[in-house]
Amino acid sequence: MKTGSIFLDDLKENGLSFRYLFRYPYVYVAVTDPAFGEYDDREDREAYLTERIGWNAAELRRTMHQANFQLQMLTAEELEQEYGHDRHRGHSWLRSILAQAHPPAPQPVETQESPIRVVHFHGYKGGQARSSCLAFLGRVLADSGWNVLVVDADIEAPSLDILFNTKPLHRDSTLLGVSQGAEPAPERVYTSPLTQGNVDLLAYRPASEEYDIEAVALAMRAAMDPLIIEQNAGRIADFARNAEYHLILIDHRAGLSPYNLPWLHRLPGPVVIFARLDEQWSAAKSYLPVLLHAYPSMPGLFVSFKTDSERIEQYLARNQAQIEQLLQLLVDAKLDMQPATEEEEEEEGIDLTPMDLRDHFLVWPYDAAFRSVRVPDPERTSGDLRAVISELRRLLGLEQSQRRPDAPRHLHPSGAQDEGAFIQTSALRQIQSTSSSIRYIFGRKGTGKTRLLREMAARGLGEPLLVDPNDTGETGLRSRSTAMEKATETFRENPQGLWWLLFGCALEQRDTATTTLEKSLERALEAPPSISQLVDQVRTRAQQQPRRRIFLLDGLELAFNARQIFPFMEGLFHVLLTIQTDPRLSERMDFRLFLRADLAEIGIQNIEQQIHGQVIYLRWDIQTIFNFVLSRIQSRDWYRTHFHATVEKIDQREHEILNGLLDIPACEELLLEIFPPRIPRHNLQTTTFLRTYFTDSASTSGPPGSDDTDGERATFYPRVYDRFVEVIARPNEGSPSKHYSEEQRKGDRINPSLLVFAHEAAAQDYLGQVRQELYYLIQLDQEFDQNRRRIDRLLDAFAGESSPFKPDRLASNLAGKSGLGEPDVRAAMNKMKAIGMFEDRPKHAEDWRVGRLFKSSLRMKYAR
Amino acid sequence: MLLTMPHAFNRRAFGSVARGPLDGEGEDSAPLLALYCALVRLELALKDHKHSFYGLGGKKGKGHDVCGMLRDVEVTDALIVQLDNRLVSLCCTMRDGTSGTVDPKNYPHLRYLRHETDFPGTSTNEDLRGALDVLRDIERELEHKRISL
Repeated sequence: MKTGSIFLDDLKENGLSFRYLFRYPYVYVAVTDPAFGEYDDREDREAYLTERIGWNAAELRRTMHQANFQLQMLTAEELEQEYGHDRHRGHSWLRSILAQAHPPAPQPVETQESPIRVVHFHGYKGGQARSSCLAFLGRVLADSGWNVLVVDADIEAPSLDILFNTKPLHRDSTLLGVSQGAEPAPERVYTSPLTQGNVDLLAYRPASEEYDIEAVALAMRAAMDPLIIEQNAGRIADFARNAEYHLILIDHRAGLSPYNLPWLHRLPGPVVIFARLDEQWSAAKSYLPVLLHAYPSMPGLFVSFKTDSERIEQYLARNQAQIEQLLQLLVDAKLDMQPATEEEEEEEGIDLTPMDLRDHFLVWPYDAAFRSVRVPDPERTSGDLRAVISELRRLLGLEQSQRRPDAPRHLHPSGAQDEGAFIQTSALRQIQSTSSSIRYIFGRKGTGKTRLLREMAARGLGEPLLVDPNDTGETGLRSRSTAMEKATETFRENPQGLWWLLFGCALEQRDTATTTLEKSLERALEAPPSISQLVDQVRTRAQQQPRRRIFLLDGLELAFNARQIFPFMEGLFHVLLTIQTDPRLSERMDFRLFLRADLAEIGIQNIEQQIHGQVIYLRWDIQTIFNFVLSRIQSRDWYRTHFHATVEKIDQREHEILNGLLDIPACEELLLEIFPPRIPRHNLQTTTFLRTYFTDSASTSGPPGSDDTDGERATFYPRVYDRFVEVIARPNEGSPSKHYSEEQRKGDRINPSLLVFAHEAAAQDYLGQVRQELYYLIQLDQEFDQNRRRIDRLLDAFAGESSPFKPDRLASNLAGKSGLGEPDVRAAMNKMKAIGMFEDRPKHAEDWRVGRLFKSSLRMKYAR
Repeated sequence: MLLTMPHAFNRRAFGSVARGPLDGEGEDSAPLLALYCALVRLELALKDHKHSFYGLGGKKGKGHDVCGMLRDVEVTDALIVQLDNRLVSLCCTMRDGTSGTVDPKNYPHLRYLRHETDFPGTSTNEDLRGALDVLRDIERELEHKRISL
């Protein structure tokens, strides 16, 4: 049986020169001989050739067809005329195998320099942990500060979106979209809380079935025209370089897919080759060198997935022969590397053996951490696996950290200005992808909404559009600002208009820089368009956006007075519903609304349906809040000075703490190295004090933050704990209401009396912040300053009142003490209850009670 | 009347331009002319081969759908797909004045090409040469099938 290889060998043996040119899908084999000039007819030339090499015409034609050879029989002059300007076109296994078997190629294999570091992952067979390893490596690198772009180039069986637990919604976050001309907008699938390193994913296709046809059509077209792959690869590399990614990880189709080599040649880099030691890889023995020769300075390495509990040493010993065969391929690739300098050429070659490269064969052990989580936290994996990842990084030259030097963090009780470390709560995990379905983030004051918005903006998960009035950043319109007040007045009769205008101004600009937003808004307010014009404007501008934009809205609690709040909130929800449901808008824009929970319950029609499945309630449970407290202790110099050993222990567990993963007993153990075990004045264990004195709930049954669906159970307030921790460190700074004159420490712990002092100061501060929102929530007077004074009188009147209480009776008492009307006081108390200052007393339907946090700040007392 | 005489003169004329330089030599406009003329020659050759100018046996003619004509003579699918992709990637001005892409079923749209020198970010000489490069292999395959260009 004749083959293409035999044909080429026979040409050489019979002294016939030839040149071949790969132009996808064919190999043009041009055999040159002056004798061909004597024959005009092709069949005559064919007869001459077959006679020269001892073949017959039928087997020649059959062999040419089966090898994809286009045989040309030419004189030298004809060759120059016909092929003189031609070059290779397309990269494929056929081209590479030919170049490997019959070097030198007529023209050097052209590979381009990649503009960015790339690592390829390939396996001859599937199911060898290739994608899992890639995803895990991505996460580990992000934890070292790397910004990693992961590309799912496995066109026929993509899976990285599943591994990263995401559903690509928009085509510009996919390879399919890039091939259709979209600007790449990969989806952020992981951000390290420790380092702010990221993993962004360019999946193969959007999840929607609407794209089923295009997905397979692209696979088909790309198989016939590999230039599609090369062009996409080039666009992605340029994008990655401009977006300042450190690295691209590419997950390839298994086997001899037509898609592999175009990527490899357009973006050269080392190849991590997955080969299980069951001999099945041996069919690829001729093909693996193609991968290893693509990037001579660092060809790659091998990884073998070990599926059972056999000891690694035993596994290696048992499969020594196969390992050496594989490593021999790597040795050959390294030895074939072009010398860089004349000196290197003159040097004697290094005698390299497979065992000299034995560290280039890694065993990927089975790890139970992958059972329940597809990309687990490295801290939860075995030491063996972490060691393999370390080796993988070293061999690929990725061992260094890209962590940015720690800049001093400014800690502040207000989320608008706080720069403290951010705890990876379950809320953040749910919304830390741009394709998250969560649009509404509700929570009580002090639960971290504003801080969460700033964190999302910092991670590129959205653009601030409306922000807290205290925000010091340079993006977003402050909710109390001249422009916002003017817009509120302009659209007083038509509140939806304000929101359409705001979105329209944001879409008009490339970003939401405060100054340009304000100018745009003020310009528009000079001649405000009608609502329908505003809506059309938003639709048109949305369609023109080069990428999908997510706008973040916060600060609404202070944007409107009590009279205005309902119509403007209703208008906002109406506009947001339109954005959600109109594809002309939802394709190119989205939003995240951060809102105090009670404002979503002021009677807006059909709001439950609107937010269903798209809302989370920010709540902190004991574990996350204790992790938060430890992170704040770690960030303050006073604790590091006075409790150095404990803070060092916190440093060592920083990764767990920032992920909210340090369990409660471990947190308490650390806290009790700083806090005293008991508070004698209250005859209370400190751990109980920390759990119960910082919530708005007076309930003793069930911890705050426990799972439920209504989101209205009590929660801890990080803002209060932060102030508590700060006051302990600096008891007489930041204008506390009283002066602390005792020692901060008693023995080797904090003085118990300081805990009580700090708690009261933190509760007072918190009430002060809540008070600011009450000025906008409660209307006791039309005029703002007068309203403010009346509310102050009302709050002062609570001092000395008892809890639990009957609301009507308390309202009567407060009216008498404050001089306010009883109906007004009753209405105000209802609003205070809505934001969590009071709650129903269990088993006493007519009674209310005050939460511990507000009890001390309102100076109420418990009635036994 | 069934046309039986091939358009050999026409094909020679367009072919003389089609075989222009591909490697950056010559005038800037050479690749566009070369590509356009190569496609004209191709269309004429295929229609001459199939006698399909006025339709045969009641069938409608192929117009300027060169890819369709190539399928009729069973040129390698991959080459047809590549030609289709190269043509579709070329920007042109649509009838309403907006930007669009060349219709592979109607290659004369190429006369409305938007070139980067006039419209930044649009088609380049490299794009045109890419299409010519594929055409070269198609022409070789046609010669192999004894379809005279």
